[in-house]
Amino acid sequence: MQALDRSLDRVRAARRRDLLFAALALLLLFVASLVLLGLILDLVLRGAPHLDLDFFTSFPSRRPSRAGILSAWVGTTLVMVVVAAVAIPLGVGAGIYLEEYARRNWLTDIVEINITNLAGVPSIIYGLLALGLFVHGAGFGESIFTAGLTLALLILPIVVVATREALRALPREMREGAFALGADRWQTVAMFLLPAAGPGILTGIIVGLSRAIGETAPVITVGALTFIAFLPPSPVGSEFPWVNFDWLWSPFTVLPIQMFNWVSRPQPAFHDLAAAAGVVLLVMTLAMNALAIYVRYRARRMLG
Amino acid sequence: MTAEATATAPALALDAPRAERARADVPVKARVERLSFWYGAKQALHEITMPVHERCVTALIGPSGCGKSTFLRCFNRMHDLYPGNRYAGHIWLEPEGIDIISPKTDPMIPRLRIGMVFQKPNPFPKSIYENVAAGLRIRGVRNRAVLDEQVEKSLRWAALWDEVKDRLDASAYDLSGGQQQRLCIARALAPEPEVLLLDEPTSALDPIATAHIEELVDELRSRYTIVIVTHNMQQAARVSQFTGFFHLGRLVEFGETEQIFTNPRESMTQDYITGRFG
Ligand SMILES: Nc1ncnc2c1ncn2[C@@H]1O[C@H](COP(=O)(O)OP(=O)(O)OP(=O)(O)O)[C@@H](O)[C@H]1O
Ligand SMILES: [Mg+2]
Repeated sequence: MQALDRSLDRVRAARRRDLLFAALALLLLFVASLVLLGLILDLVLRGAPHLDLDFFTSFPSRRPSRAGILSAWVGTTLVMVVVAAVAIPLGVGAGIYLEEYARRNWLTDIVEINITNLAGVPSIIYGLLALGLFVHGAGFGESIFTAGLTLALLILPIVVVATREALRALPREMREGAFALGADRWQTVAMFLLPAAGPGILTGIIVGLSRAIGETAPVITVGALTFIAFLPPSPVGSEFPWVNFDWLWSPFTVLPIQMFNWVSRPQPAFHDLAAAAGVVLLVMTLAMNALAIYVRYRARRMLG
Repeated sequence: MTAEATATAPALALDAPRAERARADVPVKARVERLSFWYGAKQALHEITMPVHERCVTALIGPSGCGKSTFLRCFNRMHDLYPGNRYAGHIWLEPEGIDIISPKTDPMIPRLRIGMVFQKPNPFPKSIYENVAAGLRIRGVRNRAVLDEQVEKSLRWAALWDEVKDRLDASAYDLSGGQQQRLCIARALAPEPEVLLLDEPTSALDPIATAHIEELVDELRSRYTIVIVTHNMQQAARVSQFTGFFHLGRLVEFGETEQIFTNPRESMTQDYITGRFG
């Protein structure tokens, strides 16, 4: 009887503690999400009235009622194409090399430490580096290509680290199984490890791209224009070979810079436009994250 | 080339400690000669010398931690995957007389010819079909009909076909532990290796599946050379023709299974098989 009482006391104490912790956690979660929700709501409420088709198809203008984000979203899209085309193969490739091919020695140790530290370097430093290296050194000019390379450099560590971690998280039995069947290194990576690590790598890529899409400082440093009323040459044409790459060398602006330009004007109408552009940027980022979640969900269902 | 290589492969060194002589009338698929192995500074195998007879089942028995898995994993150079591991001695793979563990031998050579089933089931996160087809795909087989045929044959061998024939596209992770182990057996069989290494293949199986696997091992013996690690003395006695008893990284006794189980030379072997220690 006494033993039962004592264990009941224990159960009650445990319940109380769990309840207390859960309540506290819930409260903190509530406060944090409330602040975030408030910010987003404010942005949406002020921006929503401007979000019509004209907003997407108009160039910026001195008059708020006629101003749009055409050059900005096109610029952002093209820059992100360059970022993805450079950062994904380079970052994933480097991650695979470091994790699966490189022998562990002082050289790879140094590379490893540097990559981890690179992820913490302020983005403006990348801008300065790119200004010297790409704009003046390589002569790429203040172009979409330069901006893409700069942001790719910025997110490269994120992609490399994510790739390595995704590969490292795979059970060693998987590698052993592949090698025991006679697979060479490349087959092991391509047929077994990459598909299994894919969702993790993809998450890293999306995190990196979401970071790049919102960056402002390095893009200003390499000479993004704050006011631009024309589009880069179209990447697809009606004549053979149907694609051209002249757009890479075009001057450009991107969404965060367009926003920055608008919020620095005195008229409140421009501030609302900035909010609208902010909503667009937010939706683009959310869409990318949603894609990542979807892909991971599908992958998990496949893997059981 | 072949004749010369065989000639350079020395016959079993009779002066090696506890040298075990191969039975002259049964051909040998692999000769293990003074094999030692180190995990970093820790020596896990000590000068092991024994034959692996062709088209026979060789059982490896011994208490937990005595080095059976370590020994088995030398045959397909699994230890090469981790830094700091070191081999000494030789494992001659016949008929060519290739030294499996020589640094000059590319580890892919034994791996392509020797299949392995691991102690823990390790299916790939792919469909059942793709798991079994993996070894063939690695060898460049693309023809769907060939793959289909070999997948079905291997799954039948592993006594799994009836359970999975309707869901070959399902994830291998949806299978039970025992089914996964049989899937791994099918996966190892599909490329039809010359030697099959089985590390406690039935430790996760129920008696019926175990009986299937034992039958399978007995059937496969007509075409393959099999080395099986087992903790089950009855199993060793039932399926094997030769048995090696390991203790603390040393081969205490090797001989014909019948002799080991009825009339062991070493008292330690006697104690182990009668359950007095281990
Ligand atoms: N990766 C490793 N690093 C260091 N020591 C190891 C490693 N793997 C195994 N060992 C040691 O080597 C010895 C032999 O291990 P092994 O796994 O070969 O034993 P086993 O006979 O297969 O045992 P079991 O019957 O439990 O599977 C053990 O003492 C073990 O602790
Ligand atoms: Mg073992």
